[in-house]
Amino acid sequence: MGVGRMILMEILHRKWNFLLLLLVLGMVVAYALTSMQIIAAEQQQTEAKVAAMDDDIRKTMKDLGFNINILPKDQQLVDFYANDFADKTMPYEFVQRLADSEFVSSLNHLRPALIQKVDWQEQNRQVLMMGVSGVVPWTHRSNAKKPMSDPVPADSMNIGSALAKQLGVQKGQDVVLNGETFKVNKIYDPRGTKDDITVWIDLKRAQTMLNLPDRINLIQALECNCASIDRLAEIEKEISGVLGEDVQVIELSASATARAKARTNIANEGKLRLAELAKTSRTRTQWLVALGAAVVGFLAYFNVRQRQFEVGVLRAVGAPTSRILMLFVGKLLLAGLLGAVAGIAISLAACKLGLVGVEGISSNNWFAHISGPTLAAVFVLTPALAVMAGWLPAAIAAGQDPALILSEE
Amino acid sequence: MLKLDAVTKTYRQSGNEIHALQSVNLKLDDGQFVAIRGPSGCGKSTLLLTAGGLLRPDHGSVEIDGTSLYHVSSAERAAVRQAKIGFVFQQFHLIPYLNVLDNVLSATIGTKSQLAEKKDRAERLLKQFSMSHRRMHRPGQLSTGEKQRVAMARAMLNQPSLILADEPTGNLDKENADVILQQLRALSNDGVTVVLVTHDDHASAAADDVIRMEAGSLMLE
Repeated sequence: MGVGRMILMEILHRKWNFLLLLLVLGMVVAYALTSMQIIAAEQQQTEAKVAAMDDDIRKTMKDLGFNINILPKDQQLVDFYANDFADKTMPYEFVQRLADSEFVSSLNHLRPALIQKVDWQEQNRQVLMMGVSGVVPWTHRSNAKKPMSDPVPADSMNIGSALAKQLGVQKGQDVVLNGETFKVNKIYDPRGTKDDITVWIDLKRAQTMLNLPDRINLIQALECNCASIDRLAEIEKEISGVLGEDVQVIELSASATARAKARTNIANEGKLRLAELAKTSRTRTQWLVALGAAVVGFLAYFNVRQRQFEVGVLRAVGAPTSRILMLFVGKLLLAGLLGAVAGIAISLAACKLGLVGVEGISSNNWFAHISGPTLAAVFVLTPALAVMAGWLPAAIAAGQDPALILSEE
Repeated sequence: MLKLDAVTKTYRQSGNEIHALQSVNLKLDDGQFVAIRGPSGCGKSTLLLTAGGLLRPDHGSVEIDGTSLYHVSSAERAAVRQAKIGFVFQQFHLIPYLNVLDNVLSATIGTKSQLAEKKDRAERLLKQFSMSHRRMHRPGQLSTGEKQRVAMARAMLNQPSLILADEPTGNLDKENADVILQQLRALSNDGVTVVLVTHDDHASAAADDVIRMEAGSLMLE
């Protein structure tokens, strides 16, 4: 008489005991596996959000570009932000070196400028005077792109809208700025920025007027086109490759910056949420495993109580202790294996029927979230859990004194 | 051959000592059929369990066909039980989830050899007890008489040299009791030693000898 056959016959006879065992083990497995699905789905969603943000940022950079300011190295940023111009200067040659470099690829539209706040003596007021020379052409690159800004003719001045309005000047009219005569070349439309109170003149003339020959205090690099999220570091690396450590680079506020920050926030929040989820899931799974083990132990004990005369008779007919133990342990092993299958089925069904209540979970990608080794572990650990939980009752059954049992009748 | 030599067994319960077996000596030859009678609690079942290798005595020895049961390992004792001893109980103790044939074959649990032969023998025994038509039925579907016949077949499967029967007819009507007693008689005639514990005069009349047991001691009637 084989032990396997006896196990199967006993299972068929006491179906409810075995079904309860399966249900308990199946629920434990299902919870653990579904938790993994939830965590994987959350992770995927976070990664998708971050990827979407990354993509968005890249698109923003690609389509809109972003702007940076290159300033003299010793320029205090607090002063720059307070005064709206750099009080330190650098040689004009810097911008030319950048334009001549084959190494620089992320910068576009280099625009040198010399900016200062000056007293417009004739008008008795302060204005921002910006000496510009238009965009410096690249030596080793195509310059087919339309320049971002045109140079101001040497005898001309462009004026911001608010200033022009207050001064009452018109296009074509001559104006005198600190003894220098300029023809009003262009009056800009209102921009809602300090540009509205700025005057633009030729860089050379500005250098002469400010007694700063061949000096500039700002290089604007417009529509930079970095692909990476950490673009400033990338650009700094390119610039320092040409200019060494003589300049500093700051990024002008842009929508791309805000998006990059949002992306970082989403990534960080996602990590925190995942960590929290994993912790909660781990704790609950541990409790459920403990509870499941207790129920399995109780069911095994109940089964042993039901079968004590059987154990006594089997001992009487010569069954060794090991065979009696195998009768109980074999049943637990089988319950563990089938419990693992039941758990997988329950988890799959819950995902398919949308009972999990977490977006992104379905039975279609169930196996994608559970690795082969994890499945193998389920088929090893579940029977192990069942055997460990039921070991004590099984050992008690195997060790029962048949004389005591049989003399109870 | 069954030989009990100065077998003593004492139970201790709530500070009281109950002398279930007091220096019991018993020697039964092959084919001897004895009935043991006595009042409840006199130690009859203890004697049977001790003789069957299921209850270690405090003192003395039990030998079956020259093997001293309590001087061998537990596994060896189990093997001796399987090969040489057949138990029959008043409550039958059939395994409820096995059919009649499997119940008879349950006496082979743990053995791997001669399974086909054992199965043939089980079928023959069931035929002998007129139980072939019930071979696929579960114990719950059998009458008490049928249950005891199955229990007898189980006890006989391994062709034991000793049958220990504890009130086997206690729950049976006369007709079924006779079937069991005739079978025990037949076994005895075939050289099997039979020890029958009973309260029943009719049952004890089937035995060659009747031994009276009182307060853990044996007395030939």
